[in-house]
Amino acid sequence: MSSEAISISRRSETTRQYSTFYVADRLYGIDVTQVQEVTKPMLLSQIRLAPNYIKGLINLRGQIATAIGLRELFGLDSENETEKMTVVCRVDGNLLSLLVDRIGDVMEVAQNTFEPSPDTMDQKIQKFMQGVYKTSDSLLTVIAVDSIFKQLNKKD
Amino acid sequence: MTTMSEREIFNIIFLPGFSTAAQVSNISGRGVGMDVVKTNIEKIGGSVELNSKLGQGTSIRLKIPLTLAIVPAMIVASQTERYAIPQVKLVELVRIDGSTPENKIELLQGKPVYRLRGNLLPLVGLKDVLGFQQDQPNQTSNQEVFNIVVLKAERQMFGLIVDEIQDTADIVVKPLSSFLKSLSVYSGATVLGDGSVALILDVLGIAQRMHLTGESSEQIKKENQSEIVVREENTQEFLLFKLNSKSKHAVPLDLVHRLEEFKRADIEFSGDQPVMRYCGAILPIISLNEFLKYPKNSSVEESEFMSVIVTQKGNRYFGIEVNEILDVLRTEAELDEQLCDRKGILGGLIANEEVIIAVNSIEILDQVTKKLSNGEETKSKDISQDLSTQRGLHKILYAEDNAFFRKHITGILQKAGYSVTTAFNGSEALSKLEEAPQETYSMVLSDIEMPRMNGLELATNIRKEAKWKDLPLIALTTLSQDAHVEKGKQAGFNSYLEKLNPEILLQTLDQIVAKRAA
Repeated sequence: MSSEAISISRRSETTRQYSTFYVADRLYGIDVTQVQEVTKPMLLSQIRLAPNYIKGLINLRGQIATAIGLRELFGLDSENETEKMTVVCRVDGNLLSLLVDRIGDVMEVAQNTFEPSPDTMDQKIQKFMQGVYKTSDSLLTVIAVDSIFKQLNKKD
Repeated sequence: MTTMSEREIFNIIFLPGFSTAAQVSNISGRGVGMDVVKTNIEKIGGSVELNSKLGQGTSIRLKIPLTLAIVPAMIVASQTERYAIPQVKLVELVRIDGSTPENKIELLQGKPVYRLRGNLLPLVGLKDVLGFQQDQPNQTSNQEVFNIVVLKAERQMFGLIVDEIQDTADIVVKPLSSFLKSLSVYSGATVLGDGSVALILDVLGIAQRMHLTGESSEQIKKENQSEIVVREENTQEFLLFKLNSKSKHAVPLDLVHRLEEFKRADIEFSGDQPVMRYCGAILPIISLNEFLKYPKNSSVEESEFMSVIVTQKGNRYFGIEVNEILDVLRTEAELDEQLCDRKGILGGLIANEEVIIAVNSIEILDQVTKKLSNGEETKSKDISQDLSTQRGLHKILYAEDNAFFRKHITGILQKAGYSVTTAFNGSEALSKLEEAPQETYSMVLSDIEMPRMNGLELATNIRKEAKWKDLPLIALTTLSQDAHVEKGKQAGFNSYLEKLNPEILLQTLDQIVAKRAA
């Protein structure tokens, strides 16, 4: 095996890829393997009586996805909504379409820059945070899609 | 490229990673799109065809199978939002325009009602049900024309006021995400012709939300209960099917898990045993014609599809192949067990003026599992003389409403040496227990779901009496999830067993007997 191949395999062991996006100018990431696709916003059919963070249903090529407003879910200010894109994830056979402001790159981050989320985080978002990666120019908040799904299923 | 046919070249477009884009952006140009199209269409059983002529154009043909979950529905609208109502719940449409003095909405104690052919029909507004913000509070009272959809929720009729009645449509029902099911007013969603998504209204859920079924549903419950009591204790349900024999055959419906139709071409083999992949597990397929040694019929064997009855034994599913599924039969007819001329037959019964052959699917599965476990000797079947005399000393009280199981399990117990008294339900079992002298019965076996008094109530009643506090109680049931087991234990059952597992049943009984002897 050439030395190059070894270095690649070593690299893939210690880095992970995240699909990143912005909500209210904050940077978030979801494990790239959990993201099905990224789409432009689509026509929303509102669901009356649903909690405010459930924004409606969208027709994703014939499959119905539930749109989740991350601003509302995370308790960020929802005054000036600028959600321009959606990140579609599949959890337990359900399609979730997360409304975000802007899509970032797929970031490859080194495992050793990971840290669990500090205790001072707002409770509203803490439960969705897997932790944080410290990159050279920013802090990447990692969101666990499973925890979003769990929260949605919780009876109020 | 030169050796490839035109069609093969066209198909390259469906390969993942094939892209003509000069630049790859965050969201496009990776050559994924057409691959996604093809895999998803094929997943639902469709196909994609592509034809192209240079300089003339390209045609892409998608073939998509009709989904089975198609429901005729009425599309209604409130403001700009559209909803679908299944036609089966819909009784009629009424338009109120005030043209005649009777044709109007009246207020009864502040609630709107309408006289529909002399009967008062309670009305609710779709906007009120779904909590629309009322922009103009008095809008409804100023309005002159109302569209009312008359709906039926169980036995209660009510009128739903909507802004607009649009059209009927055959809709494909798509389930909602699990977390939306708690909103009881929707039963699903569908994609309308223009590509937008409409929610399907759950009529019963709306009625419940608006407290329209409060009293009457109680009444219905009571009526249902009395219906169950009226039900004849000896009624059994059978699934009728056809084999290569003149008579119709049947299995007890309780043993049927699902009915499936498989493509003959999809069958795979494990050794000589035909199997199917089914719900992520291997489903052995047993040909009932073969098992019962009926003559072969080539027209059935060559048909494209085969009908399979999926049944469960222990944790495993088995598929029983039959020629054709016919009907469900409810009958009180007694099973004549003298009529077994071969293994796998339970007996005959007379229904609809013909003889129906009842198949003993449990015995068949026993035989097959023995064969499948490769002759592996399970346990020596000879019970010691000692054990069988031990068993003979014990009398078992067995409560079961289903005649088939009552016979089957009683047979197993008697063969093992126990003496058995049966009861049709919990209350009969309780009175038999009360009437008999103390310590007549060494243990009580009981089904859980029974009319009049179910197994849980029976157990609770037995445990109330101090003299029976140590009487072994065993639940024998098809409901064996953890939650049920927990409930049973709370009610006072010592153990919780599956109906179709005679070996474990006898083992458990023997343990009790041994404990008593010691």
